[in-house]
Amino acid sequence: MKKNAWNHPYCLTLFSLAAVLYGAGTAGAGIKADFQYMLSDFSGPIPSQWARLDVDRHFREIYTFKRGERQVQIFNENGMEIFAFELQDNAAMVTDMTVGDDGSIYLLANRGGTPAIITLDYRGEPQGRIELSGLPPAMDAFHSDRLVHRNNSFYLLDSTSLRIMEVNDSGTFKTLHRLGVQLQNMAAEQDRERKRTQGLEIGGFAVDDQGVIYFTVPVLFAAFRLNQAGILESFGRSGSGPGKFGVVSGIAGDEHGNIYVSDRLRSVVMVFDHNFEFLGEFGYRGHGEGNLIVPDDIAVDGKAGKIYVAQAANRGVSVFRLVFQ
Amino acid sequence: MRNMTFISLLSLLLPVSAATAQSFHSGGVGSCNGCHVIHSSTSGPTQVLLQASDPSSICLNCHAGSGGSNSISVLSQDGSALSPGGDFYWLTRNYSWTGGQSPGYRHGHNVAALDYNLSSDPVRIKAPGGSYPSARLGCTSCHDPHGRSASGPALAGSGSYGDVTPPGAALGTYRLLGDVGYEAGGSSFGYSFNQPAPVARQSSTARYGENDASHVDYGSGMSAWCGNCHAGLVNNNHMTGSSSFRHPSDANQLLTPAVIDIYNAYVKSNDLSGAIDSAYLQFVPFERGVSDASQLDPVSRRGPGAGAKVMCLSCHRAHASAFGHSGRWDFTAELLADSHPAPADSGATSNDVINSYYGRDISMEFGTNQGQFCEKCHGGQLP
Repeated sequence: MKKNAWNHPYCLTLFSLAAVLYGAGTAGAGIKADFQYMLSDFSGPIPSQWARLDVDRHFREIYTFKRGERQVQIFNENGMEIFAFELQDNAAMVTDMTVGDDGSIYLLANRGGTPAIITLDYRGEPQGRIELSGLPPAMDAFHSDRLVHRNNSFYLLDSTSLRIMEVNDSGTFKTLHRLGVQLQNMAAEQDRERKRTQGLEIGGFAVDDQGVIYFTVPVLFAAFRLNQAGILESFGRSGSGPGKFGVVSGIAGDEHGNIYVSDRLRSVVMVFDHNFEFLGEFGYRGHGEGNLIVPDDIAVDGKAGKIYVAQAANRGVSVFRLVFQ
Repeated sequence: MRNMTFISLLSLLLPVSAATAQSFHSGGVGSCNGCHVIHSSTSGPTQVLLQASDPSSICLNCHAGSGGSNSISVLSQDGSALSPGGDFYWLTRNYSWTGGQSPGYRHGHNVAALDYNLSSDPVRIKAPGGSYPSARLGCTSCHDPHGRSASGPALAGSGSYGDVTPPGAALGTYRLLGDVGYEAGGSSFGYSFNQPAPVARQSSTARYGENDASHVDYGSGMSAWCGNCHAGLVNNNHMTGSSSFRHPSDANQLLTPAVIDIYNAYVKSNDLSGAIDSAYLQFVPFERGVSDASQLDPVSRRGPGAGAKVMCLSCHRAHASAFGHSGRWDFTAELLADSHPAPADSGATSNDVINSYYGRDISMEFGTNQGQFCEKCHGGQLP
């Protein structure tokens, strides 16, 4: 079995020694982010507003889902569109998309408040519908709005009731994380008058290949990591300087445990190591090619060393290559 | 001198400490870092330390996203923000069909939020019935981002959920709506409100949802408050003359006993078998005519009684809707089953159709012969 160079600690050290930090769009001592390109077709960059992103880690393709247009677009590793289709199932509200290990496309559909997972092949042809089963009582009120597929499991998020459900590939219930109490306790610690305990909502949501869950709660100015043992850790401080949180949004983790957090207000993507140490940030508001406008969802292809950033202002998806010192 | 300097510095710090305790929108605003970037990361233009295209884009940094009964979103990407005010998403949707069209800019208040692809009204240059310039319309034209502009006791909490005011303190206005003296759109603009914020109450458990059993319960003052910008539309008489029809809507426009009886009996077209305890319909809210928010019940399905009033929001949504004139229903469809957006319309998605009536299937629930919801007050005989 071929060993991934990124996983080798000495290679990481070499990268560290070799990398030189420069560029107006990067700050911090630990990373260098080079803007590569925008996701495009033959006419140029494709506009989109806060597209949902996911990476096919086998074929190195990036998938985007534009909810307003109900459109899925697929791009090759060079950022060129290779296929696109609009969803045809008119009976369901589709709120999110994720890509399976075999290249299948999974859609999170809601009709009457009941979530279901629709399976499409890579051409967008319906392959079936996965109904959730074995759910514990009181799950009727689970209104899922995010879906991630990793390692033969689906992770469904109900962002306002602060719950994350894990089911297997067949839709059979595995576990439920109720985060409300922990997050409300944290809110109470931040705010003795308990005002922030009202209206807590999860913003960004991601799961890495090891099953570690990441999410952000903007009003707490905090990002979270929930490991498979159920241990919840948080990090982040409010502020406008490097590494500080304004309105945090998208989040992702790579295979080295590095964590990427986008900030809508500061228009940056911040990078932290697995100990939550700030490594650097890049982007910054502007119209230069390496700048960002209100970044939201992010996706990381660690093996290719790329990070994809969806933005507002119909700006589309920017692609950066990261080098760690 | 040294002591005076210390005291002066301390006095500068005190407002910051008090503001920090306020948190996000619990009557006021305290998390400065949620909106203002103190250390600008770029040399680009900033407005009062707001790093965005415009103030409304700052608001939408938090208030854009998927909707839900406990989601703070007022701008979704699929019409799913089903808040009482409505989803600004509809401003971005243009529908057309054989013989008709429904352009997005006619679906609501055209707030300018360039980061979110929302731009000013392309046709109107000022507010209908008033002089507020369309080009300046944004979230802060109606909502006071800092809670309450008038001086007074410290704000102790939200004024949106019927909380009891603590001694020596005050609550914010309903939904941070600008109060008397509020300088809409910024102090440099010089447009000041002369009507107080309305009295209303939302459910504390479903804070951003709306259905027949959980909704904003309106007390008083809504139409008068809309008159801060639309004074010419707030009138006490039907106006038909040479201009278009206008429904009376001013602060003294009581529902007549006959209207109250119809509202409470009306279930759907040609069905007047209802009762007052289950009469409330989310598509036709009304004011109960009380000025104390604690007397309001946002989970009551009870219909109107004596003292109830019609208001602007009885027919319109404050933000936007799927329909022209920001209507709560399609004013142009004789039968609501024929409403647009419809599945076959150009520009319409299935999500649009589902969300246009807040997830309710009008044909299934009310029947294919359901007429305009004007009938809720007027029965089959429109005045």
